[in-house]
Amino acid sequence: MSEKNRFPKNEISGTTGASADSSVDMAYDVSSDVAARALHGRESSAQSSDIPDKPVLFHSVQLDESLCVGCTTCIRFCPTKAIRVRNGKARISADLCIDCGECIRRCPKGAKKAVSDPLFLLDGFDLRVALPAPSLYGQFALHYSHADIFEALHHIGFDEVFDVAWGAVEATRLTRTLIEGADVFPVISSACPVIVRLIQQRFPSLISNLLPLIPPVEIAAIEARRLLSGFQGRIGVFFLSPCTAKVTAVRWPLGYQRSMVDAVFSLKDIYPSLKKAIEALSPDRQPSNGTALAECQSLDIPAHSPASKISYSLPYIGDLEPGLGWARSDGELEALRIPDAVSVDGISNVIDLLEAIENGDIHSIRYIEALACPGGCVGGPMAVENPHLARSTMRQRCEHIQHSDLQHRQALSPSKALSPLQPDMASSSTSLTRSAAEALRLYGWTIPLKPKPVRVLDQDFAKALAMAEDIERISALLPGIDCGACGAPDCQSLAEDIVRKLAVLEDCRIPRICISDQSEPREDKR
Amino acid sequence: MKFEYTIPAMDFMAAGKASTDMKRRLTQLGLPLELIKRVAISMYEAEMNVAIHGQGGRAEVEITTECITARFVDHGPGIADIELAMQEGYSTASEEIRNMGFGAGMGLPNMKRNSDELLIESTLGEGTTVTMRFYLGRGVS
Repeated sequence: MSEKNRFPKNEISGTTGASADSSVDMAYDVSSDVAARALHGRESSAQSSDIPDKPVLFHSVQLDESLCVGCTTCIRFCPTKAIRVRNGKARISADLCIDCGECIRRCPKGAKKAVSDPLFLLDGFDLRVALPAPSLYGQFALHYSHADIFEALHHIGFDEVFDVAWGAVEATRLTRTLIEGADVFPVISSACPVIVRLIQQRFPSLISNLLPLIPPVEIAAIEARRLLSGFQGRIGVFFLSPCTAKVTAVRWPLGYQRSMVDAVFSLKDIYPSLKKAIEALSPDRQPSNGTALAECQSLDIPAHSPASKISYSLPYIGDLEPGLGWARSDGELEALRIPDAVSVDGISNVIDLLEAIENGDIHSIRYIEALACPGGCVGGPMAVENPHLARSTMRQRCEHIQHSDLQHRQALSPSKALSPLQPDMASSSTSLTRSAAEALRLYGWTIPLKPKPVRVLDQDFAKALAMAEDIERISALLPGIDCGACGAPDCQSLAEDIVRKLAVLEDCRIPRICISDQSEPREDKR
Repeated sequence: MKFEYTIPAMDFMAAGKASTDMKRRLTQLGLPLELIKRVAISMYEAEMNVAIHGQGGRAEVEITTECITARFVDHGPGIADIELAMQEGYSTASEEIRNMGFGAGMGLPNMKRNSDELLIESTLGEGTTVTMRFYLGRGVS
């Protein structure tokens, strides 16, 4: 096995993640910013929510120029039409990109990358807390229990593990409360950061429909920090996630001032070492025995091993099943159990539904779970397992969460929990002594989300109208076949780019425009 | 500037395209969200009417610095009693259409509520023309 598959503390580096070789032409250094936050008490991070017009300077979704052949595949699938091919290379507009990862899925050359935080950031902290996304549990076959995975996370270097599923259970409770008090319907889930940005940009009239609640990972992060507040030292909170948009959202939060997460690690980055640890820890559960045990001996357990240092232990909370379900589409609704709710996944399906809502065509629906990735979070760009398999695994895990699993986990805990949390969340999801109102003060949005319609032609209406007329005039000259050869996703976009002076008519490669309009001064060049 | 759309008969997937396209254009023009929403809802209802009752037709939308005028023209059966048609809940839609979730008798009332002016011209056996006007209001000249 290569060194890459190990996770010892001094060799940790982003593998699929923030690789030094990806050509990032942005005035923003990912790792140094996160490191700066880590080292300087989290105050240095730039926040944009309070300054709505400040552009997002970092995107998780980036282009590796060396691999891009300028084929124009990505431009057609981008839901915000954020990509243009210029001089043979794709260019992603930082203003328009919502980090959905659709281009990562579509690029035939693998030139689109998900940039997450590098694993070496673990080193800057005295206590490292893993917040596994529910979808993490879908990356491993069913014969590895939740407890096995939990334990393996300890072994690869995390001192504490706190399930984001817990945040999802809490979010479910608060969602019910918020729906009861809502006056705009349908309420739209804000758990998926891609959807929140999509609405902010393309469906701004639906901002008031968004659930004003921070996402489960932030709820979990706040709670983990609170439970560990007695720890003397630097606590690092790390989200283990399949989601590119979360990497961006931690830097540019939506609806809240700042993230309580220090870094987002891609499931792809942690998978190899986690898989090895799981296999080593539960050799009996291996379908084919032998190799895993051998590797067990060679696996470097970081010096910082949990057994030696756990003195503050997060509680292993009981019934996380409804929260774990959030890993896949429908999970949020199954946890909510309210009538008149709809689940939609896949960004183009979400767009269709949002259009219908804006047209006033959706009646008597109270809640919408909208997830950008096909199949939900298990379909995230930084997941490892096939999303369909992961989806099925998650369903089965939730159905058959064994009681023994829970007992096993409790037995694992070397010390008693310090928290007031009860082990059984099933009996009352409010086992936190907090009331819903109190919890909403902690977990509700604190900054109203501002519309960000980035496509306004001109602030002056008369000028904008004149430009719109130009767009129509130019559009009439174009062939209308949306071939993409010009580098824009469709003829309409090229016409808009021309009027915005980002392109010229000659960018159209289809010859018939040359004879179409005599009034075009550029035409005689051909 | 003017836009034209054709609205095919009974094609519920296509109906809504004009409204969606106009929404995008009005957003580009930087118009207030509240106005865009009203235009989108009104246009969608009108499109559905043309598709369901009017046997298809066309839409013409004109945008000036003062107002947006959307005209929907069909050559369907016409409306016998416009006053009755304007009542909430009144609909001549078939059982089949109602089963599809349309024909609740809210179309015209919704259009009236969301537009600044609504004019319905109809001749039995010849068709219907619905014209809606939305004023851009102050601050957008």
